[in-house]
Amino acid sequence: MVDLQTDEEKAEAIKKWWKENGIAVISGVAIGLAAIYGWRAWTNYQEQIGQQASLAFEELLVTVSQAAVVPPPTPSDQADADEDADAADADSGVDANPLITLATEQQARLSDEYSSTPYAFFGQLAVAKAQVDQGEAEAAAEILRSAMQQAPTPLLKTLAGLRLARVLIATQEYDAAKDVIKRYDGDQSYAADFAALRGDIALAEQRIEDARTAYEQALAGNAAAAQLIRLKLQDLPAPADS
Amino acid sequence: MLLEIRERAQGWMAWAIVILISIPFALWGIQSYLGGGGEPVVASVNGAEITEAQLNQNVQRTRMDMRARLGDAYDPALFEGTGLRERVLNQMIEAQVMLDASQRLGLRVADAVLRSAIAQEPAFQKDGRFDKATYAQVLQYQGLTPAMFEQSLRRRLLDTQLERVVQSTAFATQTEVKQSLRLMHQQRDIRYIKLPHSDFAPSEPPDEDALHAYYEQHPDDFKSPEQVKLSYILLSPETLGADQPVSAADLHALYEERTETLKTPEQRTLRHILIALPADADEAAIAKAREQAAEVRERLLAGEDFATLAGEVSDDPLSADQGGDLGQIERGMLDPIVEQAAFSLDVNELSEPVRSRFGYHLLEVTAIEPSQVPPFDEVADELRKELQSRSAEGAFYDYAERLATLSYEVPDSLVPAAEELGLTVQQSDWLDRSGGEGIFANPKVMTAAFSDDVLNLGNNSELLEPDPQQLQALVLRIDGHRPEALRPFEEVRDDIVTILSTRQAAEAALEAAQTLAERLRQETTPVAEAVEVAGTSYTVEAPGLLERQSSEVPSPVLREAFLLPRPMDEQPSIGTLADGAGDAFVILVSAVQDGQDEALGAEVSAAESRALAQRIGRADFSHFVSGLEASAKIERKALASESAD
Repeated sequence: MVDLQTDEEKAEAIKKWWKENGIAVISGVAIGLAAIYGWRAWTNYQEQIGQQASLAFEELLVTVSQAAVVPPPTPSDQADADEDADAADADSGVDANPLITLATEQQARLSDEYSSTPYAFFGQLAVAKAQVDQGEAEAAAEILRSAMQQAPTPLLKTLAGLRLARVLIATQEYDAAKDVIKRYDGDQSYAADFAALRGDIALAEQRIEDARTAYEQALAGNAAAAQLIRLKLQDLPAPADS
Repeated sequence: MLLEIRERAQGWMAWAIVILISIPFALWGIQSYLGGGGEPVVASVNGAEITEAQLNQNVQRTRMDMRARLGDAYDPALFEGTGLRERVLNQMIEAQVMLDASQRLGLRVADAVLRSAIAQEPAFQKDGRFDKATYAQVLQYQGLTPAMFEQSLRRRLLDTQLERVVQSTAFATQTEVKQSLRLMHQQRDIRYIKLPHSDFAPSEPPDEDALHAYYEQHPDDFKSPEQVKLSYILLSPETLGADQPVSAADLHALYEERTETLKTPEQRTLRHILIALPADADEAAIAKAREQAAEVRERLLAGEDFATLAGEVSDDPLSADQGGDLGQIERGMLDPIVEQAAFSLDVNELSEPVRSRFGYHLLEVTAIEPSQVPPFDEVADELRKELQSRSAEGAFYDYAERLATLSYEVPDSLVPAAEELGLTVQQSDWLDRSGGEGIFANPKVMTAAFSDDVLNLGNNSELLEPDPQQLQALVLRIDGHRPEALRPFEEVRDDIVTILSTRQAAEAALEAAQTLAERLRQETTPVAEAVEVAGTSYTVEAPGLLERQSSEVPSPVLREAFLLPRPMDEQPSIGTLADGAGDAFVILVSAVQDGQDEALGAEVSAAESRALAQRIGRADFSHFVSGLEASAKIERKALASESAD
């Protein structure tokens, strides 16, 4: 710039500059402000959604903890319920357990409204527990399978896989269980637990020596319920060669 | 000049100045964003740093928790060195890993959950319900604002959320529960043969070389413990003459002094008639009630029966049916106005109407039991004991203080203190660290006796009070000291002979048991009721089907029986065992009966299901944590040994 400008000249220069760059400046400021407020609104929204999902999940957990202490309906209750259901509404009656119905509804809400949060996945784990506790292992296997599709991290996916394999063993679908185990057994953290499951399958299929090896692996790796695995190991018949 | 600055400042220079000034403002405080401002860092987790100061603070807090939890059992030595720091650091790393994972997953704590957590905190409750004022007060006391507290509580709830999610969704399948019950409630058909080691005692004693060799190889087994002999001055009410006679004059003086507290209060049997009047009654009502009371009084004076009239006109529903009777009254039990009137009446004298907050009373005393002082003889013993203990107690603290001072001033002998105080110096037997009888059973006393100051420097101990509940104090010093020493071979020779022969016998017994087991394995016929080993007949004990927790057979036998493989094809599983005492056993398991979940009932199954789910949940979570730690970027700096604090 030149020092010897008059005030008018300066004003002229500023006006000229503004004419050339004014729109850019205004839109720049506007974009900046929009970005700041947008970001704030977005994090606020995330916080709100997260809190609502968290609360909905807590409510589901209450139902699940009830399902753990209330004994499942006995076959006679079931029959009564079926009769009532037949009388009232011919469509329902397959799933007459009110606790499971409630848990499933609460979970469905998590999946529908909060599918972007991990609570949708946690909700599926929770419902699976309620179903297992209430003697509905097949349904639990189904929901665990769908949980694995939307697990937020690989580690949680492995955890869901471990639980799925245990449910499959309970329903005696050994081949399916083996399949799941083979796929997720690579994760070091749960390797011992998977080994214990391989032992259970081998035992169910009368492969005593395989069961022994698997249980020993599980114990070496600090598997869950180690005391029970130790008992299972001790209970195996003596090796054939001695 | 200013003008010149103004003119220049309008050009490019103005911009330069503004930019120069804005640089420090922009960068001010930036170092707090760029790492901990030069503070030493002990570890970092996925970029988040744990500073030495934070670690120190947590170590300190853990120590305080431990001290609070363990109380007297707290031993600072247990928590020194790097062990504790290492553990605390690991916890902090784990917490950071969890927090990181929670944040990445986007976990949140709902306001409603936060509110209910605050409402359920007992510290904030008054009469069993959440109280806002108490909440504010407690927080203020801790120097926190509600916002600060709520933020930290939210953080704590968030910290445990993942754990809760993993644990509370864990389950045990029916198959697993059945399996567990099957095994835990398993019963085994057990038989066993005991071969006592005494039957296999060697015919010749072990030779001298072997004895010497054993003595040399096991020097630790033949050590006499370090012992001390103590001399001490003991202060107790007895040594200070608690049973000394008390003069009769003192006793009487105390009796006089106590008359007021010893005497029983005066009791008056009282009845009344109440003309009720609300406390805020107006003049007219008061006048009317007073008139009514006066009227009743006239009727009584005219000779009407008090009880009958009370039943008729008294407004006191409780006493009216009892003829106005109020029972026996002491001072302090009634309305002060009524009391004053009642205690100024003679027997069977009727009072004027008396106004209390209930209304007008007409009072009559039917009997007076005057205040009584128990006779001197009755309370003399009690007073004597009080005087004795009072004088002994006074003397005790006085003596204790002087003893402490004297024994400190002359630290190398107890004699001057004993002479000065007229007490005797007593001697103990030889004592080791585990102590002895009486006051020496107290660990405080033995710790003092073996302390560096007393044992090595030969000083008097400080004044020790073994049991604060009792008036007992002592000062001790070392009279003699025997260090830990190897006992001479001759002294322990017999012990070694016993050890070696027992060992040999036990080996022989176990060998016989193994041979017998082998023989039984070969036999095809069922095992008889008795078996013969080396000419002696041993019974086969057959307690039958036993559970894991049974106490019918020696516990090592039971344990081994449940460790034996499951018997196949009618052939019993056979094992051998030597117990701690050296006796050998042959154990046969001929049948296994698994626990039946149907027979055990739904309750047992349900309880087992919950217990198993909990164990599985815990493991699921701990494996989850190790999985997170394995994939986190964790850097640890070598832990410097702790700075003195």
